[in-house]
Amino acid sequence: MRDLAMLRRAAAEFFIEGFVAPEAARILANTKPEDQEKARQSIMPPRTAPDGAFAWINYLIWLEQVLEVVDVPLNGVEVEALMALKRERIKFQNAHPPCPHCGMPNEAHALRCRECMGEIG
Amino acid sequence: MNKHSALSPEISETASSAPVLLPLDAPRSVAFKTKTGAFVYSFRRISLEDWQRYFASIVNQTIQTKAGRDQVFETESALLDLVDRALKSVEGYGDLSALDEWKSSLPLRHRLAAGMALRSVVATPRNDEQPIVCAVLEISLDANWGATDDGKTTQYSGLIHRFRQPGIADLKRFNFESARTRLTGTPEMSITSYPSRQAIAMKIYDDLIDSVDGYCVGDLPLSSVEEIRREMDGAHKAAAALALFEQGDEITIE
Repeated sequence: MRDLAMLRRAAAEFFIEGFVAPEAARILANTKPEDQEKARQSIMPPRTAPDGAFAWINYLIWLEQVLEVVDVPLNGVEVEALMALKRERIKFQNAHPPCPHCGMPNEAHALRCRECMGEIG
Repeated sequence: MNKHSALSPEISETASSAPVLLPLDAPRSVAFKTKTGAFVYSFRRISLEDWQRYFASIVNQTIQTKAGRDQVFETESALLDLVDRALKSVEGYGDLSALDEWKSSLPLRHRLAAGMALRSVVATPRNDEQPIVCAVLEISLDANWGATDDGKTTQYSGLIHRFRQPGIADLKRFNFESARTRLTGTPEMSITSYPSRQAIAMKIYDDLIDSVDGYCVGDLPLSSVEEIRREMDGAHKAAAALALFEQGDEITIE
């Protein structure tokens, strides 16, 4: 995928989905099976990027993990996409700093950790 | 359960442990019965190009609008195209010689059932006793092939494909190709078209295959890698290579 603007948008949505996922899982665990799809739609942020962009991001994340353990040759599209993904991750991490107690990301303005309820800042 | 179960062919079984090899070059036919009669569809050999075209024609898309997301998975058009190109003759419908377009005059359900029989091949679930670490990975397939003279479809089991261990470059290629979606649409609607994993697997098969058991051409077992690449049925290549990448134990970290 050569559309880096779309890749960045999809990456931002991907990281937000990951941020919301633990709470969504807790809510869905206490939701009747027949209501789960509706609940999922109300909890999860809407995707504006096409599904194909998320397939590409899943590949890039797999590739990042591979690169941690072994060198593999990359093509130009992969290099540009990996750098764009890295920039979006840094942006997300700046907006969602980790809790000093448990490490879970939180909103930058949060006073208590949404996971361990410990005080932040 | 597929909707063509009423047209399921009669099955006679064989196993590759017996000296019965699947004849890749033999005339291939599909026989089935319905309430109205018994039918036989005879095909020319299905080439690798036929299978590539079939897999590439499968429609696998998601269509996203503001209202939501629809999944489209459509194989029947591709299957009909495959059947219509490879079909040589049929029995059971009387004299069709007066019809210009005799293939398209055949019942749609019958053509689809014949097509499903052509692509009838599945990987056998992995045996827990197989070694996890080995130089060559073995995939076993079960398949229906041609009908015999008594109208029964021959089922082969234990068709063995041995692959060299995929390297990181092979794995990367498979994942890269699988993630290469095509995006189209308008600001109001986006369409993601997914590539056929079978088509990708078919290509990777040729790079990784080491040997096979259970197949023959001209009554002789396939012996060299070159011969396997050239002669192996495309649907069998795809099924075996996909199983290579997708089979495996679920890993739980404790």
